Amino acid sequence: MSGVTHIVADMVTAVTSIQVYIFGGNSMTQSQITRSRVMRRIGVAVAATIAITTMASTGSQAASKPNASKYGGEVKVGIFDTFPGFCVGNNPANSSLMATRTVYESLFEKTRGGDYIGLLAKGGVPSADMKTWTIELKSGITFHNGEAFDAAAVVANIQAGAGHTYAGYYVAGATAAAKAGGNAAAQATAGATAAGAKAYLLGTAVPYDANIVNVAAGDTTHVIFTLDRAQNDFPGTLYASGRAFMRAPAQLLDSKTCAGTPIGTGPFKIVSWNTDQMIVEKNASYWRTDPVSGAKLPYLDKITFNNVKEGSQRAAAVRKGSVDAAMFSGASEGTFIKDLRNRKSVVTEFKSPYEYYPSLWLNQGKPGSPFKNIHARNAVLSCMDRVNYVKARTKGEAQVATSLVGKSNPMYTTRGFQKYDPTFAKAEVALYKQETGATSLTFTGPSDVSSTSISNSKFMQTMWAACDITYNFIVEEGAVIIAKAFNASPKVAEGQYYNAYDAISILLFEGTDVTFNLPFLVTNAFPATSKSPVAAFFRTSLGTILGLNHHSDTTVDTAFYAGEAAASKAGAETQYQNGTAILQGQAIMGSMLNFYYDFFAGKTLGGIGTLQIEKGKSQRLVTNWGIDWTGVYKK
Amino acid sequence: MSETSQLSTTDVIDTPVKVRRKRKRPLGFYFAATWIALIIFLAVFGWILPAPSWDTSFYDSLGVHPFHHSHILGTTLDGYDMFAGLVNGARLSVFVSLVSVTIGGAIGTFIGVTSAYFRGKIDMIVTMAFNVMLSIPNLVLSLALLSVLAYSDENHPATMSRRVGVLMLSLTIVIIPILGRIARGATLQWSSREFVLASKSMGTKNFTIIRKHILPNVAPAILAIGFLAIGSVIIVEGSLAILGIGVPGGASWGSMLANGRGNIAYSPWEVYLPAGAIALTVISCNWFGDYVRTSLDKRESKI
Amino acid sequence: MDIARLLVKRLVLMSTVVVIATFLLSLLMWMLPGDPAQLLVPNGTEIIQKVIRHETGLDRGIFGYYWHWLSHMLTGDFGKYYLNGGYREVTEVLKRCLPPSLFLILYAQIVALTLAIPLGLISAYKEGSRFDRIASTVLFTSVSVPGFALALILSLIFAVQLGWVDPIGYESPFGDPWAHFKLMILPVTSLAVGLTSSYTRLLRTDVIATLKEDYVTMAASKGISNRRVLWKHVFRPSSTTLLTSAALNMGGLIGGTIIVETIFVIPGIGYEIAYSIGSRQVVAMQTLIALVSFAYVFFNTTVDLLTNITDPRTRERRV
Repeated sequence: MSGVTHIVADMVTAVTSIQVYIFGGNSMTQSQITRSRVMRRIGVAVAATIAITTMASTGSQAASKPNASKYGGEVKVGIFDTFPGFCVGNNPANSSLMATRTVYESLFEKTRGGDYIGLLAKGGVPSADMKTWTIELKSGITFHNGEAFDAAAVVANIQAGAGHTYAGYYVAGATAAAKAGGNAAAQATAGATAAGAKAYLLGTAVPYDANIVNVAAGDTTHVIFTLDRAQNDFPGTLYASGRAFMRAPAQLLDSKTCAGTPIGTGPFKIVSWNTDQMIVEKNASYWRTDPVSGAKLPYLDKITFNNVKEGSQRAAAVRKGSVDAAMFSGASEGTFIKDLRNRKSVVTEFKSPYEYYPSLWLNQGKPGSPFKNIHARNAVLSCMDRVNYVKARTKGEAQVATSLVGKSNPMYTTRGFQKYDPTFAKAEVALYKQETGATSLTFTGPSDVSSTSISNSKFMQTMWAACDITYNFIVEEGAVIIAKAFNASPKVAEGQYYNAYDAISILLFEGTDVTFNLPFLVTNAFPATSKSPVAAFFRTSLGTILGLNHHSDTTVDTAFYAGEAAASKAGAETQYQNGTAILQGQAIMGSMLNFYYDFFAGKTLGGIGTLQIEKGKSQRLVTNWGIDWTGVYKK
Repeated sequence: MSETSQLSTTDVIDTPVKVRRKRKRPLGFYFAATWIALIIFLAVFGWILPAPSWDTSFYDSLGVHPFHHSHILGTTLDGYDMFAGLVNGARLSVFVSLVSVTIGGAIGTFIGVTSAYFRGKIDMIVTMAFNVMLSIPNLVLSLALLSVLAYSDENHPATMSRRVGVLMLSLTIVIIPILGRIARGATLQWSSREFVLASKSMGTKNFTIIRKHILPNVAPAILAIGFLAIGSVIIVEGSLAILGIGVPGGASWGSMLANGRGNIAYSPWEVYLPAGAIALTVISCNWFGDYVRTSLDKRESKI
Repeated sequence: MDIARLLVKRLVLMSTVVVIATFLLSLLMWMLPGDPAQLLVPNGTEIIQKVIRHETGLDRGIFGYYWHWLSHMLTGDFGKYYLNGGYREVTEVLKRCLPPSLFLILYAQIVALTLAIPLGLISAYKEGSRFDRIASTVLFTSVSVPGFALALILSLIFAVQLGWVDPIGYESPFGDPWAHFKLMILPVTSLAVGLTSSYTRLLRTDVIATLKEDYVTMAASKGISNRRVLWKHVFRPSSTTLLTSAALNMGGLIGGTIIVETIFVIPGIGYEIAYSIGSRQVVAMQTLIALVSFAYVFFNTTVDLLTNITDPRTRERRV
């Protein structure tokens, strides 16, 4: 019940929020479209629920004490991901991203209405052809180490992330190693000397930022981005689902400091961290204040984030108060969520919308993978028992997928989406065997070490076995899976490939726009026409790693790039939906469910989701990276 | 002993429970024998029983309580029948532990007896080898062995049968030095006895002496420790499953426990039942072993 | 003179065992299919993998690798955990993960000894009595209950259902001693139950034997109080075996905490070993297991030496 309230609360805020950020140079259009769409959906329910929502929010405000007593306090939070490090190559997953985001901030944020709003930036303006974007920065912000946050710092960050800075080291290392001849030791020494420790610094940001051809400082508060293709949603790239952090230039100097010591502009500073824990303390000279009350931020003195892999233990911990809050995934932790939801006197639920769309990526590129053959893909995708999966594995908490993404996403279309049909699947298996001469349809995928993940895999194994499909899953730590799925330098001769798995079920799609999804869909981050200065270096390595399908259907690229270049929202949607229809019709990938992230807080916490970025503009309440901790206080 | 499931030889040898000698066959013996018989029966003839398939999920009865009309021991939160799981798990757990202890015991006994009988350099090397293997706690050793030998990746997915095979191999390797050391110690004791020395002086072949005089006397001690080892192996198998390295998918008791432990607060029978099955089996093996050893003590005191 | 020779002999033996054991571990790592550098940083670029192969000695054959690893270990360089985009020193991780494990073992030993001494003494003193029979049966049974089953069931009852203690986690005793002890109760109990049984039975047997010695009978006949006889003339000589066994257990427990640490999420050395295996950090895994094995051998040798030095008779007894 409270979950429903929260969704409605989100929608109401969406309606009232005012859009600033330009979509295709026509802010009014988008604002109106969003407004009417949301209005239509909630219809008359609004009037009834506004009362509830208002009561809930004023209730918590009324209970809050005067500002002075909000300060201080230590908080413990239960999360479910490990900390991989803090450099551009390290991608913290969902709940560990929440912890990381207490230290780092990005140029842009996303509002509850799904629009981009400046955080470290004031705003951004595109040129008429949408190939040049000028981003204006807020001034007077410093990093935790005292370095100024200015245009030069942004340029350093983007160049490091996009590989512009370190491509040279990468190439020099490889060349030196090659020149050193057959002796492995000599190769390594030569390569290492030439690369320095800096070749470590490359990561998935390289393909993600592939559209950036040049970045330069106009003056200290203006950064000018030159793009390869026209892009109407560029602030989304600079948000990158909350991952496009601005790191202190000093941190980017070498691999040891870069992965080990995060220095950002955020409300909290790092105290210590290890794989399963991150402790942060208050940044006394934080730049933001509460736009409504003017109060200095943040309120809390210290936050400890602990990785508690097992959902049952995390649930018990938040119920007993041994952690003040904990995050859960609606995709697999329905049992615990339902139980906690019934304990309203102990915990409060904060729920994200159903905006997360995990997909089944069928790898066509890997040698030995059956998925080059369309019958193999059809067989696997038409044997996905979504209804029972949602029932058994999510306890009904997730929604059955009807497209690769959910209805609130502009990519959404049911065209070509494979339905559950075991008979058809079996026929396709037979066709696959007949065409390829294979004796069985067998493929391999990963599962992480948690018992829920293993149970998910077991479900799918049984499900596919019923259609004569053999699925082998390998249990590995989450970090290893990510590393092997996005492998930039496989040894193909030894049977390795960019994406090591025949198939992988992973959450990459999300949200109410396409910005974050697009780089994972196209055949190569650096198309043949790319004018990026690093395209030649990375086209065959980092350029290929985001598209886990490794398909070669460039009509998909064409559709999605056209959507990103479209001048109107409606024009973009048509193109995006055409792209999705190809992905679905060609059985390039599939989807089981849409789900939400959930956050349960003990009664001692206040201020969750109430802090506004600017007056009248609220950040999303809960996302895949949980909540924002800046405005949270201990009652 | 205890937590580490480290089977330490001193512990077993130094602590005879003399109380039990007073009665001929203690109650525990009957209990242990019954339970072991039941488990073996289930392991061999379990498939005859009218239980649903252990590997099928019942989507309409997720997490039903034990004593449900269609699922006698309930189902897991994922809808797997507990009774079917336990019966199937008995097969794997019993099979794995019996095979690894039998093979490991045979190899260990052979090495231990030979080295102790012939002494000299062979004995030195064997002792050293045993010490090396025993220097790594047995759970850690099997963990390392399993993670290397049953290494599984996307290009070499380890199949279920390979995993089980490697699990048995690892456990066998762990058992060899434990039983080998016992065999060696016992042989040392017996080979200095008068009748052995007499046989030697009469020119009897070494092989014959070992077969006729040493082995029959060493065997009971090995058998007694062997039962304890079976218990130990079942515990190690369970521990490996909990660490995510053993047999996956609820195919063994340990694996059921590992799968169910996340649901402990919601369907505790998922933990109680396999844990109880493991505990009862280990206790029975220990009681049985203890009985064998007590009888052995008695016999020896008569000599 | 004799002691010095013994010392040298034992030390040589100990080092040989450790060297062979660690070499076999290296060999085991070497047998992993595929390239270990690829396992360490699966998406590292070729050049990074070359650097790592060089840095760890993996490019020098099995003996070269082992020598590289061993010589670095001896100089205190325990190798690295490789992350995408950097690394962490194993020594750093050790500094963090050793204290929780040591506290856990220490508490378990203290609890087990505190319970085992009175239990063992009384049941030996009243050998064959109802108390003795019940205690023997209970202890014999409880030693057979797998530690993980006990841990899970304790956690279910006391943490999840009754909510008396937190189900998981670890606090440093220096920061918040109360939280530290509360969190330690369940893990320590699950470790201590088995230990207590094992120690009680050990002490009981020993005390029964001592009680039959002539000097005890004599002391008792002199009219010295039972309690005094039991404590002074019986417990003291019997305690050697108990303490030896307790010391021997130290090494085994370091590796044995692995399950308890995993279930109660205590960031100790066992937890790290499990993590290093799951994340395929083969170098760190080798180092951690080698340290556990070293600790085990070290405690064995030390105890052996000490008993040899203090009580020369044992030398003959042990043959």
